[in-house]
Order: sequence, then structure tokens, then C-alpha cells
Amino acid sequence: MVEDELALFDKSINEFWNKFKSTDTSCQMAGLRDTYKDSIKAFAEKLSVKLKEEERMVEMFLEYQNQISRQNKLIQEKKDNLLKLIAEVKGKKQELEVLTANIQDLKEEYSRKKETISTANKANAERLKRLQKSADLYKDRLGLEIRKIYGEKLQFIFTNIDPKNPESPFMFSLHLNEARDYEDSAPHLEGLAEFQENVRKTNNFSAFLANVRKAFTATVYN
Amino acid sequence: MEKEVAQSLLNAKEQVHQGGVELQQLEAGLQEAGEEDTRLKASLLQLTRELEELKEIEADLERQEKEVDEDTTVTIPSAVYVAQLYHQVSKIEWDYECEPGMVKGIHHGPSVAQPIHLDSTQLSRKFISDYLWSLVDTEW
Repeated sequence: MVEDELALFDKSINEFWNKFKSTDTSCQMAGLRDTYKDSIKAFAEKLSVKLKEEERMVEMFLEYQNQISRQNKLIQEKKDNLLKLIAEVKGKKQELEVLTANIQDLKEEYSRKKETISTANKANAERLKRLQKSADLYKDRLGLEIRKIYGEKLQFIFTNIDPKNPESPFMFSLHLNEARDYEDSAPHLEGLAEFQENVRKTNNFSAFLANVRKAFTATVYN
Repeated sequence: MEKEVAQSLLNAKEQVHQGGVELQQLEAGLQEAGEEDTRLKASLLQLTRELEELKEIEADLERQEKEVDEDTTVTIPSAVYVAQLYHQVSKIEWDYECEPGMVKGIHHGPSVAQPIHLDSTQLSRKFISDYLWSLVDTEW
């Protein structure tokens, strides 16, 4: 029985296949299969392109990342430098201020000092001029020059003694110490020691000089 | 997902651009600060030189002050001493306002004051000196 059914079934399939093979549907399905193959191919190509695109995008992205990283490093570096420079500039500005003020103060101080010195100099010059004028009159008219010389000594130089030689000097020196020691005169005077004693006793320097002059005058007429 | 990736890419590109801008700004800032620094350095140098010059002025002023000091403490007192000595010794006081060529003054004697009036154009210097000294007392 089963064999009969199987044989029948087989026959039925073959009949269907032969009938189907010649129908449109078969052709349609073949066409569909080809279309399907084509579209798969196109899709695969598109996919490939897309993949390549995306690969490129990833590359670009990575490159950008690199650039950004380098930039950031550079930016940080330059920011640090700028901060440092700004601090230095600030420091210099402060230094400049201090120096300027300093210089201004000094200039003012020196200007004042200069004034003071100028005034003092003028006053001193005036005074010295008057003192000199006075001394000159005495010197010329009395024919006596009094000088302070080195070693705390006073030197007395008489002129107008010798009528033949008015300019010829007659001199002696005196120590400005307590004892008022005298140094020997030129020309030598015998009485000088005695005069010395007298002036020590009486303190009459005026008479001392007058007597010395008299003694000098006497040496000329001898 | 693709949109997200594209957006990230655009963002990254923008970031690079921004970074470039920031770098430019920083560069400009550095340039400016650098120039100011140079200017300030030059100013400081100039002021330092000025300060040095002022030091020289100070030294000079010090020297001048010393001179004034010497005048006040040595030269003038010395001149005063001598002038006073002349006056004390001769007891003569001059008339400084008299006509030139005239010897005019007063001799302050122990009891009387004697006027002095000599014409130096007519008399020898020795005569004048002798005369003036004759007024000075030789008595101790």
C-alpha cells in the first residue's frame, strides 16, 4: 500500500514540477532571485563605501584629537609664559616707581643743599672780603704783615723800616702756645728776650710790637 | 549613531579652530607684554644711570660743604683773629669810607682819641708807617 502511495506522490510531484517549470511564476521567481543577488551586491558595495567613509572619519577624529592635545600643551605653555612675563612687567613697573620717587627726592635734597651752600659761600666771601680789606689797610699803612703759619705760629714782618730799602723785611715768629716762645728774629735783635719777658709780665702786646719796631729801626741806623 | 559621530567630528574640528584662535591671542599677548618689558628695562637702565650721576653730584656737594665748613671754622676765624690783632695792637680804627688816597681814622689812646688824617699821595709810605707807629705807646 505505502509503496503505491509513495509512487503516486512521486508522480504527483513530478507532474507539478513539469507543470510549474513552464509557468510564469517560475520565471518570476528566477527573476526575483537575480534581482535579489544584484541588490545584495549593490548593498555590499554601499556598505563598503560607508565603512571606508567611517574609517576616514575616525582617522580625522583621531587627528583632531592629536592636534587638540598638542594645542592644549602649547596653550598651557604660553599661558604660563604670559603669566610670568606679566609678573615681571609688574615688578619692573614697581621698581620704576620707587626709583623715580627716589631720584626726585634726591634731586630736591640736592637742590636745597646747593641753595644753602650758595648762600653760605656768598656770606663767607663777603665777610672774608671785608676782613681782607681791613687787614690790607693795616698791613699797608703800618708796614706790618701778620701771618698765621704752619706749626701754630704767628709771623710778623715789618717793612718801611729801612729808608733806603723800604721793602726789605724785618721779621720774627711767635709760637701760639702758653709760653709764647719766640723764634729768633731776622735780623737778630739783642733786646728781644727782654721784650719777651716784659710782654709775658704785662701782656702789653701793643708795646711789645712798638718796641720791636723801634729796635729794628735802630739796627738800620747803626 | 552616524549623526553622533558626525557631530563629534564637527565639535572636534571646532575645538581645533578655537584652539588656534586662543593661541593667536596668547601670542599677541606675549608680544605686547614682551615689548612693554623691553621698554621698562630701558627706562630702568636710564634711571639707574641717572641715579649714578646723582651720586656724583652728591659727592661734589659734599666736597663743597666741606669747603664752606673750612671757611667758616678755619679761614674766617683766622682772618678775624688777625684783623682783631691789628686793631688791638695799633688801637687804630680806620675810616673805610674816606676818599681814596687818604689815610683817615682814629687812634684810641689811653686817655684821648686822636684823629688821623694823612694824604698818602703827598707822603712816603715810610713816613706814614713811622707816624702811625709813633702813636703807639712803647711804655709797658
